[in-house]
Amino acid sequence: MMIPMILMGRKLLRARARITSRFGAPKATLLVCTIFLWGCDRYGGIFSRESVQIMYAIDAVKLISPDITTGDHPRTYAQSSYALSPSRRILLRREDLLSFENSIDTSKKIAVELSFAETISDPRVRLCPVTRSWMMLATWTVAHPFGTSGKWQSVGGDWDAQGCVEGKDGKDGKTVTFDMTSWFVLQVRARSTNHGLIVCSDDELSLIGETAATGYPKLLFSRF
Amino acid sequence: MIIKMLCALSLVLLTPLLASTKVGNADEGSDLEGARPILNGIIIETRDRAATQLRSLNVAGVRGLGMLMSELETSLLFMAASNSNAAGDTDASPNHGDMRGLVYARTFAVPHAATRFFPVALELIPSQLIALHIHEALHRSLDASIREDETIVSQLTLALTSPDATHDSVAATAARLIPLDPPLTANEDFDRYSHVGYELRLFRRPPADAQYPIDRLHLIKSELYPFGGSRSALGVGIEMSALDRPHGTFSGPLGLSAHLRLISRRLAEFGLLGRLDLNTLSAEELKNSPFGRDVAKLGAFFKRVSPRSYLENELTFQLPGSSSHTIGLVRYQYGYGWVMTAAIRGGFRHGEFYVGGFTQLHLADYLQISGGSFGFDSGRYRILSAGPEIGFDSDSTTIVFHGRFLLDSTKDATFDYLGSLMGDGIAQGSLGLEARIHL
Repeated sequence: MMIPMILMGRKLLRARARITSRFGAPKATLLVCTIFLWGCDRYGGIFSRESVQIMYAIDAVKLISPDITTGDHPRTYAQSSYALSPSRRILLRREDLLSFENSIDTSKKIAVELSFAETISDPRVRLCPVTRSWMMLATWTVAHPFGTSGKWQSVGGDWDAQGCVEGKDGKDGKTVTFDMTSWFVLQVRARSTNHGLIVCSDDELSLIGETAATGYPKLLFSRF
Repeated sequence: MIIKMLCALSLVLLTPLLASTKVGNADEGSDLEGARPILNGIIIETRDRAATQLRSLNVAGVRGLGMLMSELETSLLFMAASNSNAAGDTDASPNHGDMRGLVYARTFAVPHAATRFFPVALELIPSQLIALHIHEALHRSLDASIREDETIVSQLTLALTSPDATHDSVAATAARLIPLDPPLTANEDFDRYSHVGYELRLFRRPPADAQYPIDRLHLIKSELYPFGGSRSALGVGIEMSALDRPHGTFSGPLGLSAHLRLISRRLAEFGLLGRLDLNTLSAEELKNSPFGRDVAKLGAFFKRVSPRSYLENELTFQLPGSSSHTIGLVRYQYGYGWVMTAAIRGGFRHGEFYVGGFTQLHLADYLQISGGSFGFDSGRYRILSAGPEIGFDSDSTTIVFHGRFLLDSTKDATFDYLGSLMGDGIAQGSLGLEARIHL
């Protein structure tokens, strides 16, 4: 890419000399620079970057429920499916999101895709931004077991109700997509915080877990 | 002529065999050969009179002379067949032999030993025999550190047999001559510290949100003192553990400890201690936990024990360390800072039972947790705990019931923060029961 630009630059300099003799030095310089920059953008893509759609698996998936009181209960993580209900919620987080958030194209949609074992229509599932730092030892009552700062202000999780997003059915009837662009821009990028999301359902559903071969929770975005 | 010469030669050659065996108070007792038990006579009479005299002085109430009456009255008495010459400085004492070098009596300087009298003792007047009985009994009844000190035994004999002897004069002499806190002699008391035992700890039902719930900890422990001298001993201990968790029972860390008693007296001791809890042999589940680390601790202790009470101070320093815990697809790193611990333990004793308690203060540098997007740093914190203990402590066994309760902490810290499963435990504290057999 650099060699063609260098060759083009040399041609432009020769052209400038001929243009200068006809239009004068300032106009010639402006014309040459415009052509040069156009060429850089056209061939080098400097000003018009293209982003590529990426799909990342969500690695931190944690079930919280009033009937499970121990943080390391084996049924609450590393499962191929989780039972969702009005009293059973799922915490989600892509742990290394902050390490590459600068390269995410926010002009394109940032979405979370969840898959369910059953075919669903008009799912009453919401994805809400969590407002307290949590870890994989979270339970229905605490975000983490270290001090009072770890307790949920409201049992069952703290989230921003204003930021909740309703899901949209996928084509196969088992996939639900959530547009989380606003959450990413306002929370992750603006505040450099990644507290993840919480899945709340008014129906009893079976969410495909992170250890499933397919259908695991995904984060979809465009990356430069 | 030849026969006379042969007889003379025989006497010369056999004299060494016919001469009395050179013995001391720790001899092999060959002069008991031919000895006959003394059942009556002046020897028995003077012993009874000696007992009466000591009873009138109430020697049982004199510190250090508590066993004198028993040794005087119950010692078996023998009369040797022939006299014996003095051997060693002890026999040469005026209390043991006469100017001719003949020994009046001998005994072993151990409790319940027999007393051997020699025919020359029958030449003594009754008062001298009384003194002789008392003197020999003192050799057997005094503390091991002084019972073979002829100077001390002689002075006590003089105090007890003096015509103007009173209880107070005897007590004053005994207080001056018998040390209050004599140093331990070899093989005394150190054997008692060697033990093997079992301990069960029930952790106070942790909050449902504990990071790693453990219900019970089983410990099999032993501590032996094979090294060191009479004034110091180096003990080595081993502890094997097993954990009861909601999901099953798993092997726990292996604990290695060392106690070095630098200064040890009958009532007090001071020493250094070290402890290493190795995660090497624990179950995989424990290795993948916040407690899956090796914990090293160094410290010093001071202990004072009296017949009615005990007091122990301990100061330890726990080295920093780290562990990792993978939950699902997320790996967390736990960083533990150093921990300084000061503990005071004390109580009261009544016979073989004791009741007491302890209080302990932990000052820790930090607990840091990081993993994924989660981070936690406690900063410096402290934990104050206390607990009771009730025990039975005999020469052969010790049974203790103890408890540990978290009284106060900063940053809402619990024992989990310390990351020392076998040492300080976890959660909010524990109840424990320990049984030890002394070796």
